[in-house]
Amino acid sequence: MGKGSARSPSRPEGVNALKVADREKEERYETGEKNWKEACRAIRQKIVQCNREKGATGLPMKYAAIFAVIVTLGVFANLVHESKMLSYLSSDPRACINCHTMTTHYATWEHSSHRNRATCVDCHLPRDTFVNKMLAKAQDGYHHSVAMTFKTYGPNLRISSDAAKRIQNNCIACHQKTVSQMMANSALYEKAADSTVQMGRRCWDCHRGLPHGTMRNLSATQNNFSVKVD
Amino acid sequence: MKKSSVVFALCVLATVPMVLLTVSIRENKAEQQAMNAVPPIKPGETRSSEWGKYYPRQYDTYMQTKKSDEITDVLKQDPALVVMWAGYPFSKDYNKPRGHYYALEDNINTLRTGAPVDNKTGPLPTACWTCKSPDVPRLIKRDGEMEFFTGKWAKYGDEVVNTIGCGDCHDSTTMKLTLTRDYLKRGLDAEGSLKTADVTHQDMRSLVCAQCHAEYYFKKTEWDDKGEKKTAMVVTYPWNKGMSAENMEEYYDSYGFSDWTHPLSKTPMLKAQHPDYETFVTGVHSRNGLSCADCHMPYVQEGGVKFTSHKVGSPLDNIANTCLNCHQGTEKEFRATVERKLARKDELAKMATDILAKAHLEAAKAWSLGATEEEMKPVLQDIRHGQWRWDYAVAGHGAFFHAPEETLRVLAGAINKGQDARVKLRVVLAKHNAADYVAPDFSTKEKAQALIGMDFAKLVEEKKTFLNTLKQEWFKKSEAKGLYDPASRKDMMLKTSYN
Repeated sequence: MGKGSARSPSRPEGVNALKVADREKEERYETGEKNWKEACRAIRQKIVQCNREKGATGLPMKYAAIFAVIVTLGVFANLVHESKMLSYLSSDPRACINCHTMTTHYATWEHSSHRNRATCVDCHLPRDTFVNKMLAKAQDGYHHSVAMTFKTYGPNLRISSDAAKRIQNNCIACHQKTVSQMMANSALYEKAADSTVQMGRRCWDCHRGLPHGTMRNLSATQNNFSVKVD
Repeated sequence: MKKSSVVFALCVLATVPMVLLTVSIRENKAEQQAMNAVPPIKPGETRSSEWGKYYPRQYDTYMQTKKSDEITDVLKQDPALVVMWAGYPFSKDYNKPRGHYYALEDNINTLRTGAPVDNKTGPLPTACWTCKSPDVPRLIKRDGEMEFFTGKWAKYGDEVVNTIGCGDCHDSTTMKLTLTRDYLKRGLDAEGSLKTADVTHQDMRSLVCAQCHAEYYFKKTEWDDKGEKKTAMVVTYPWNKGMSAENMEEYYDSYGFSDWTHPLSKTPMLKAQHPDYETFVTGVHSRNGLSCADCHMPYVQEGGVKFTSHKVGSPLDNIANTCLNCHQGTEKEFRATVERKLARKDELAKMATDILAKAHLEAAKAWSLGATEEEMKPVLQDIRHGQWRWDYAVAGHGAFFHAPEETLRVLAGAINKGQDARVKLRVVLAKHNAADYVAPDFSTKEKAQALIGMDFAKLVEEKKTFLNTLKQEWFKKSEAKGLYDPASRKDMMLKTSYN
């Protein structure tokens, strides 16, 4: 408090001084604002000028983008060609030996009595609706591509449980008459081996060699004269 | 600014994995190509052991065809054949076929090919080599088809030296099945139901066999060899009007073709040569999409490897891998079923040969009593057609199984034609006061050969000279030329019906 009173005598002077300072400040501010506005205008002009000049430097970027799109499309088209992508939309068994991994399965099927009645897709894909068929095809195709690309498969391929279900259904679909009584009886079974399968066990638990034979190692059919892909 | 850059960045992001994937696919394809690569066997290699270096399992099984080595003298089994084939080489010597290993050997050893003393003598034309060796396509390529089919059999004795082998059915540059005999292609295109251009791999698994296992005749063809007139005897399939016995008969009749004139009955005869393919295609197995190879070359497993057995032979040797792939039942049942089919065929065939042989002998008697051409013409037509049908039905030894119904139907036709001839002959004989004529006995091969005036002992003696001289020279010469593959005749023993 004492301190404040000690200053007070100089206060009127100080007020004036403050007013001066404020005015100066205001003036400064005003010019500052003016300058700022000017600066901004200058920057804007610069930007506009820059943008105008950029006309020359922006054009290559656009071309680069167009070029990149063309290259990408080209690479994709080549990939479609190399991978024979479109063949997978067909039902031709030869599509399954685009890769060598399935040659044993193809060769054994081709020497089996099923060859005249059922192609790969007849057994391995669902036959209820087109959508399910395509979904299964996409799913299998994805798994096969991953396995093929990252080489995660071994010399003995095993069916996935999902695919096993489809095959079981397809066995029954064709051999309906033969198994109808078994199906009826199976209602009374205790489905010990697998409760999710209609008859407790799958057809090939007994019919083990159908149609690929019991031995279908990838190196089992070495001279595939008939399954060479041109 | 941003739009172009974003697009560019996205494109790079998409392209990199796609390129990597493409690279990966190409690597896998290279691997596939390496796996499918064809070994360096020279184009047109005729020596099977050279192929065997790369395909040991196929070669080993192929060599096992030597196990089928039994000589069964069919003329001894049914001496009526001697009378029916009088004047034709088959009356001299006719055995049941042995394994492919013996195909060339038996062709050289049979009395049918005679006893040439140099490359211009001997009774038969070069065409008799046609089905015996991969040297044949080699020679056709080297000399031209017309030149190949011109001249005597002995002309190529030192050139055709490797028995039926790899090169007869496989193209060494791709290993795919291939047709090495153009007359089959011409036959298929003339017949029309399966054009050469449309054949599938499964068709090929029968057609490579049909290059030989089919009915053919030697078509006399005049040709011009740089100003010099020559006559070729070109192997030709009579399929223009179809493949049935009646279709071929019509084809042959349409221009009065005959293989020979029977010296006893004076009939212009036809000789059927194993129409295996033609009868097979009428059968139930063919109609269900099976090929020859499915049963005669079963898919077998050896250790961890599966391959096509090249031990071409009877499916009854391997019922488990053939019949039982599709059928239910036991091996014993299958054997019994096949035996029953064979017995049915044999029963009718025996009837037919007895009737036809007697018809020939009765016709000879009628001629000797002064029967006229006019009287005999309808008789001879019946004999010609009857014997043709019988031959068509039985000359392919598997027809009784491949096409049982067709075989029995054609045999029934043969019996009918033969009996027609004999009924007509009875009338002619009666006219010439020999109504009760009884044909002489032909109950053994010896009696039958004596009956047709064949000097069998002389044929054998001449043949043996040939076997000890010219035959030996042929193999020596061809070995010096580097053509002959000694491995193809490893452990070969001389085995004939006459020694």
